[in-house]
Amino acid sequence: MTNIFLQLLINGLVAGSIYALVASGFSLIYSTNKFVHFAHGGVIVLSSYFLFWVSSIIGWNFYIAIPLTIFFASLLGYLINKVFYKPLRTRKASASVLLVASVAILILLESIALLLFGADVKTVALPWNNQSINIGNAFITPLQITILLTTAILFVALHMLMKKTKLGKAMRAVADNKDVAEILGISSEKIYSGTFIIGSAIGGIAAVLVSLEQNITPLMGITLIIKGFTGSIIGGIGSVPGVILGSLLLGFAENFGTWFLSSGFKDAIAFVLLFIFLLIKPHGIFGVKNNQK
Amino acid sequence: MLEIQNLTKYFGGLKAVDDCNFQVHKGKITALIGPNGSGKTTVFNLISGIIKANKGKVLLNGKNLVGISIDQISNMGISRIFQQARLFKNLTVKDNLLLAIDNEDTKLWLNLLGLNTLTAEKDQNVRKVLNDLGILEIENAIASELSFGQKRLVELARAILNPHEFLLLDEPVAGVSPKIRKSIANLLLAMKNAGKGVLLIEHDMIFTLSVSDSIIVMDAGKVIAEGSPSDIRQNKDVLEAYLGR
Amino acid sequence: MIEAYFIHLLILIGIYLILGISLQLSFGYGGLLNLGHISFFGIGAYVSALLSLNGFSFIFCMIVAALVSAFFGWLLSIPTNRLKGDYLALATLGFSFVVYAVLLNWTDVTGGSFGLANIPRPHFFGITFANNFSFLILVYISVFISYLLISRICNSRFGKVIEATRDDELASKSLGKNTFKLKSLTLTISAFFAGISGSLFAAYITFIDPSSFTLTTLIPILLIVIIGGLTSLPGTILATIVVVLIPEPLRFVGFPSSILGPVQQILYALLLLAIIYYRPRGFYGKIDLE
Repeated sequence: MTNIFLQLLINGLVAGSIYALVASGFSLIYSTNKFVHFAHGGVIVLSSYFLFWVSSIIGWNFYIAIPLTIFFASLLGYLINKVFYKPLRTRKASASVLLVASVAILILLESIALLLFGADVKTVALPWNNQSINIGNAFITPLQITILLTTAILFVALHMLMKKTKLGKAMRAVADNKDVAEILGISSEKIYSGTFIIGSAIGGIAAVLVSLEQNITPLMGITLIIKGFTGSIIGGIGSVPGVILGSLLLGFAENFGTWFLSSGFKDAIAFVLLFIFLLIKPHGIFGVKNNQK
Repeated sequence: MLEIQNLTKYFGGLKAVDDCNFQVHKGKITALIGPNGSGKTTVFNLISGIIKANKGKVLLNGKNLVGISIDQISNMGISRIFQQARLFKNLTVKDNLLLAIDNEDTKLWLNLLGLNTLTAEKDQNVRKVLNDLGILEIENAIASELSFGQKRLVELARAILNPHEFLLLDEPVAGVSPKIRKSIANLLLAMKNAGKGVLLIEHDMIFTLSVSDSIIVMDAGKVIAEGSPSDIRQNKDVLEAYLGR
Repeated sequence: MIEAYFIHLLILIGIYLILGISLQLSFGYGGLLNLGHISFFGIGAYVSALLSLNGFSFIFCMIVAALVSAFFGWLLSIPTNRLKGDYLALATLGFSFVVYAVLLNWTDVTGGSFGLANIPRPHFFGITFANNFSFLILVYISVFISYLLISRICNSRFGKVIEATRDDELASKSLGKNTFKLKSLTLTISAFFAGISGSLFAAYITFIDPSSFTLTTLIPILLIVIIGGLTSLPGTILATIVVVLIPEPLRFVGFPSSILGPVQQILYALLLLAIIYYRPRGFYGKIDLE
């Protein structure tokens, strides 16, 4: 007799962790660059297909495919910034223009995935036996435990990065006040580049885990980035713990929501929450108010 | 009469405007002076409705303006210019000014059916003010292409054309040539004679002392002195506020 | 047959032109970056389809569809009144996702992912516009009326006051203009015409499903408005022709449709990025992008 409450809690935790992975890379980029990099969803999608291609089609060792995927994601994010965003920034493009560009890039990346791999669902097989473990009459798989652990480790790592390292401090300086940071000798372009590299790498980790836990479709990028974005907005975009907490809350809301609504409306929960938070509390629960426009 | 009573505004822990009281009368030019950061522009923003007072009242002919929306306050008779000229940058000078005069432009059906009465008279009024300020030739220029000085003048013209009883001018002659300064001074005197109340913020003391009927001095959010130009010129507190810091 | 092909293209151009000028009104003139505009198109399509599937005459279907869309335009304007720039864009985008989720999940009404099929061709006053040529006439009468009305609005003093609100909302308020009402009207009217366009679309394609009304479909419409140039209605005409025609040569290269779709999206996305960078004023734009 399954403990439904516990099961929903676990499912919510797992889903929330995935969203937290998406959200933390995304909000690292947003808080420094000051625009919404929607294409992050596209980076995740293409990285998922990259993992599929390397491990299932080329057939390389799974444990080599993973770091390659993360590297691919990182590289892709870096290139997107260099090729598209940087030139627009030199032309003093506003945050709105960069947003429109990022939407275009998202569609571009998803269409490339669709073109190269087709619309049907792809899966990546796990090289280990992923039997569910029974915990208090609810089930969790080793993979899911891995996801939770990864998110926890990432949280700590990001926190240490931002608070204790020179790079992290420079990133916060640029996020706070780019002009002052530049006077202090910090190259904002280098920092922007850095956030794309790191943020997209985190996206790569998300891509790996999502591909294993769920399956891969070309259009999943939009859904993932929306959920990541929603998680960020709920928790407050400038804050690492906020983003992760917000994403977990979203995971819970979605899963407990299915108690009352049909599962089709699961995605709608995120959309509605996003809409509401943008209107009422765009700085989220922990949000750092940055002085925009 | 435009009167502020016990007007107070906090920004976080900072008291930008601290229990201020003064009156602005129609048919007179009143100047609001004081060192930078003394709260003058905040007072303007409180009167025109851009920000809401924490305490106190803004009374326009007895009616309290606190809490009323910016557009309604404008329609009740307050017209203003901003420190940084806020023109409609993609529209022509003429359009910028017609928008001030036209009160039917927001009525969709009137415009759809072609019934908006943009008469020759409105056109005339626009040209007259431009002429008075010596900038008639830029009538059809796009606002973004104007020089700094021209932008300020157009904004002044726009505020004047906007129907009003009281005119709030934030540094109307800042960065403007002596010739234009004279035109503006004449324009203000014309407003005064037409029975309008003018409240102006200025740092140009010569200009201020020459056009004003009365002067209010602020420092650190408070009103520290009030009186005629000659009174203020000799007031010790005022001198200390400007020089003593 | 060549003739049938040209008529098809002209019909698409007409439908997208109405959608394009409706966005030109809210984005070009009003300065409202409404990334959810495609939802108004979708709502119009679904309302019109449902009514015509229930036998109502097409004029009725189209007008009601437009009014329902307009209602949602008005509804959206209320919570988004205080939002600007990218926050507005994101909130409207969020709105479009909610609409998409409803279209996808309210299966009783919308048919869910299966959509609505066998939408009848328009009929009213006893005439049925079954063949494409007659449909073409219907579309262009709608184009003509829509263009006339929107053009009149934009070139009037009302047009000037919404442009002023776009340029500096605070200054506009300081002149006594009720900017909330103005922005509301702008979104409402723009949604109305998007609804008209959606209604024609549903009647032409005769089958609609939620996938026609996503972010992906927004890209070419945004492209039209930017290529044409913000505030240029004539530019929008030219841009619609260009944008509808551009992917057509791909058809003749012999790609299967599973390739055609994504290649078209890639083309549009790249074009949008290129235009934003190289020529953000498009053909005849008189104002800068943002």
